[in-house]
Amino acid sequence: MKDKEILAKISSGEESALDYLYKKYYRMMTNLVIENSGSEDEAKDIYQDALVVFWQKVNNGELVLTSKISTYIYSICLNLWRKELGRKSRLVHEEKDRTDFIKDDQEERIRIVHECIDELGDTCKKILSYHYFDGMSMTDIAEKMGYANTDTAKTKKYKCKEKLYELVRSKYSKSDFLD
Amino acid sequence: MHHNAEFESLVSRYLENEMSDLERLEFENRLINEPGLKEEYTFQKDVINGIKDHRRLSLKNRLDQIDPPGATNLFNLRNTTIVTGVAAAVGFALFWGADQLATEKPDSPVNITASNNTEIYIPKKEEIPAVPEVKFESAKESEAKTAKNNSLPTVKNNTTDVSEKTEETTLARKPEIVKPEIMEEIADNIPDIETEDPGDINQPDIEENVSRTELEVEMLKGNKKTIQYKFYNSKLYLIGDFDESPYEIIEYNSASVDEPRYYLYYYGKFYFLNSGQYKETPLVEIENEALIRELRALQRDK
Repeated sequence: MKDKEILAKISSGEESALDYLYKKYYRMMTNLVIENSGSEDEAKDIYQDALVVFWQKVNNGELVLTSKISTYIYSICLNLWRKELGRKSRLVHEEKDRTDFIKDDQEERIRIVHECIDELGDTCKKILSYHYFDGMSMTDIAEKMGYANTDTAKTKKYKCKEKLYELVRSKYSKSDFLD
Repeated sequence: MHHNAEFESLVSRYLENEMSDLERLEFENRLINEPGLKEEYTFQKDVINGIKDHRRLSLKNRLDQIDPPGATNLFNLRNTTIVTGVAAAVGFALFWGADQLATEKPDSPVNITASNNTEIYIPKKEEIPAVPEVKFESAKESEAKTAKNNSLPTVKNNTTDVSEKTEETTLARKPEIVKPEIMEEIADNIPDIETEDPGDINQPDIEENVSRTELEVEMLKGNKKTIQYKFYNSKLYLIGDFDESPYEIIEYNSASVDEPRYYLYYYGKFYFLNSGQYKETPLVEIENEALIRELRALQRDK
């Protein structure tokens, strides 16, 4: 598959194109991390993150590709790994108790939100993900979801968001970290 | 938390970039001075970040279930054509608490005819790759040993050595012969691969299959909140705070591949166990609905 085809597939939301890239450049990208003090697991994690970033950038139109896809993904891996090394280094020097406390609180919030997203139907999950993560326009979402027009997509998105807010609010009020 | 409709609308417009520059400036000033507005802003940011994070993890989970080059390629869905009457065999090991293992393996070549007359072939012992040699005994000897062991014939303590294990294998019930109904159900539950969303990368291909369960499992106490796992020396280690609830290891064999694929069922969820995973790693929950349906069907019919 040529780079152009891969980009076209990713733009149209074909996740199989991501699988293809993952397999194609696995060794090249993971070696980058492994050869720079990373473990196999860290390398895999960074490479997966890099592909997700790539997916997001292609879909929300941020990407102007002036090189090969592999070169671009390689640079994302490199940046992510540098950041990770920096984070690990900072963790050693920071006051652990404080960061752990904040982390626990954030993790609890994230856990609740994830739980509520899981309770939504597939349609809502897709619409909200396409809008907030993939950065797709309401016109593209309408087309992808097979809606008659953009207004239908907007209404659906609004209702899904309200439903999610309601679910999260009810669960937040049961937790004590916001009161 | 308190809910204020005006704040909700304001924050939403701000986060969706629907405000003019002047409105944004005004909003940001109010944000500093009004705790209620700040609370609503934090709430909506949390939820939006949660949506992004959820999607990110779902894409990562998808990639995680792909066997990268160099690792054992267990399933190749893309080139699979599913037809009615395809055959499958699954070895199940049911565990309570820890340290018990069931082993099963066909001991003779068997030909079964499915209800739709599709012939299912289970190969001879010598055709099964990488299976430890098994000593066969008469039914009488097996019964005597079963009584002596005073336990379910297919359950063994996984601390025993290999020689004991192969002997125990002979005590297993008669070879697992897959019933045609199972095949039909699996076939029924598999959506049309050509038209299905590609999210089903983790769905195994089902062709001719062989049943053999050789996996040893050991439970270890861990200090992390989440349950982790790893494979080492062909043994599965589950690390974490397991309670007394039963869990289940599902071994999926396909004749088109060399190695079985493993799944863990625990507290109503299925997790993928990558047999190439040598370092401790958190369990990856399976989200592919087609695969979940298939695993449930196999559980029911085991």
